[in-house]
Amino acid sequence: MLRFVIRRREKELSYAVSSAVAILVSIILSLLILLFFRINPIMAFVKGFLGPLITLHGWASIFYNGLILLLCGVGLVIAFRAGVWNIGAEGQLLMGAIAATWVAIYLIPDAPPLVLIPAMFALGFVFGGLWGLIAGILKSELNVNEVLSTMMLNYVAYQLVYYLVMGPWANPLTNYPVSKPFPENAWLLRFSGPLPISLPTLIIGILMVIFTHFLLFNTKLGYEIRAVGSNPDAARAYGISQRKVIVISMFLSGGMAGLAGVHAVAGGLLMPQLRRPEQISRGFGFIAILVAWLAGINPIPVIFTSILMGLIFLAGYVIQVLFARGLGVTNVFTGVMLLVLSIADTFRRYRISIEFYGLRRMRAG
Amino acid sequence: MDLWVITLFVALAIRMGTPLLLACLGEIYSERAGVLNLGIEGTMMLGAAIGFIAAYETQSLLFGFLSAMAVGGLLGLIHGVVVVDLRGNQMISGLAITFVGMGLSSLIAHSYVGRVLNVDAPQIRVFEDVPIISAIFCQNVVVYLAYILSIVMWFMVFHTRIGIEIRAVGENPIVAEASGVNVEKIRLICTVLSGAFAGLGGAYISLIDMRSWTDLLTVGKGWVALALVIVSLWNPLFALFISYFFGALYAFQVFLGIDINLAKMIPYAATIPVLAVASKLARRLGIPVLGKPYIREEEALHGV
Repeated sequence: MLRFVIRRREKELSYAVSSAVAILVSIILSLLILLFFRINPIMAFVKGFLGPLITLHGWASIFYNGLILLLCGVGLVIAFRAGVWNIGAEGQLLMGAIAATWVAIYLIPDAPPLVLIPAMFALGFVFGGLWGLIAGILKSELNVNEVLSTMMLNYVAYQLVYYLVMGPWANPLTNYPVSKPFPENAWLLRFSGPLPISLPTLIIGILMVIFTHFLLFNTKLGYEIRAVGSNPDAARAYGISQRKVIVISMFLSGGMAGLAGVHAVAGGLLMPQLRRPEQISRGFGFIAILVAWLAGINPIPVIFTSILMGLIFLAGYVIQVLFARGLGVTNVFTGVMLLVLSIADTFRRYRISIEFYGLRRMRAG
Repeated sequence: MDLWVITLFVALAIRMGTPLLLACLGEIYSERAGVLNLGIEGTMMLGAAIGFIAAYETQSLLFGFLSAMAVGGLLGLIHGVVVVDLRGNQMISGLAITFVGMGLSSLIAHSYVGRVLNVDAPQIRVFEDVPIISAIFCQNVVVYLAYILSIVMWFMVFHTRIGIEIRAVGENPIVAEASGVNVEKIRLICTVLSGAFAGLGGAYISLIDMRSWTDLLTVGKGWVALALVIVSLWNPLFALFISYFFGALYAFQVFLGIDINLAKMIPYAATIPVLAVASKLARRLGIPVLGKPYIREEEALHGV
């Protein structure tokens, strides 16, 4: 028999170093797993990871994914800082997408872009925020586990989108489950440079990162959020309202995922319209957990980790399509990366050694 | 309404609720020991995929179920080693297991999409002519296994020495260890158990309920099962009734004449208020160390 023994390090390893190693290890590990499915890992790496970097379309896709992950990720930073495990960015994103569709097709379809686009983002924030708020209130008032409630709300939102695109909002001109296309005034790519990246989302994304950084580290509320998240007992002793922190952080977190939803339907290279839920998101809300975690639950580094995960997400997708292995490659990447990351977190703070009962001791780290 | 229509409904509820119950039973044990396994959803999915492949290739349901339990146990073991031995974050590791399970299942079973399994599970038929009752007792052996397991696991957790040790580890690991219980060992075994049961539950869906494999087959049943663990207040007998109540909510999808996409929402939407009511009770009964790694004092201090 063997057992693992951990000892606290005198000096913690740097977060950046341990994260970088974790990313490298998990990419190698994932590619090795692909070997079992007769996917050549070197080809997969070259085509999946390097391929997108040399084309304009590739970079546009990386940034399209990256901006969704940026907005979801920075929202999750707020929730995670408050010690609230919001697993519901996926559903909150979908609610934002629904809001955008409602505004663009039904509410004010004839408005000029400078009215329409801000209205879409504003309502997207509100819808996503309210979706997060449900879980927040349930947690603060009734002690409902937020992991489970946000997960359930994901499925509800998912079915709601399905219902809308196949029912009341279905496009009568086609049999595909999609809504009518958005009016041209709602297309976010109207505002882009030589690279097709949605400028409105980019601006909002950067603003949200700055806002979150300022909120967390320069305001009383931010102090309270961090206090509740890092030491709830001490926070209670200081008279900080845990309920207020939970509710506000869930609203903001959901709202930012809602913004991502607006971008997801209106900011891509595809025709802006509400689609089947798995075509709108394909798990961005979950990958955003990685984005926030890789960033050390800090807003500024989310800018880099979201672009990086945007690339990794795209790589998984490219490999899936190229090697025709159905869904799954991206999920394996995400899973392996989360697993390696959770080990890396211990490794950063502790020395890990393996002890064999009655045998000599092996040491690592 | 005709009694036999109700009978049909109850039978359907039991068919839909059994995978929830199986996954729930295992998770009750790991949470009782203080380990949260958020990997249930992915474990069910991989169990469903592996179980289907094994049963399809050998034409043996038993072999299918055993393979599913083995692979589920393996995922449980990975989660256990990461969170129990390496003190990794239980939320992150559990989610990781879910993603790995989801991803691997669609990769592995990719070429099995659309194939149908033509093996019947042995049936036990008693009270065949009594309406409603027959729905409960005219069932396949796996459902009977689920009934029996609920009772056995209830007895074990509340009335045996090993059950006391499991609960002690979840209530206060420091005291448990002081009284000679091997905290890591119990936690690891319970986590493996939760994985194996989730694998079994997943295989029930692909081998008996659907008899086929499609991508993302379990569509959230693992997450519902996780919620039901709390709703059942970590009691295997309560889990039996609550799982079948939720099975009935799934069965509504077929019986209720409303839009299918709205009907599919019902179990998830219903989980939230039920969870809210249960959480109020669970606040007192909850497991104090759930989700927290057990780090001994000497380990937390600076050492060599």
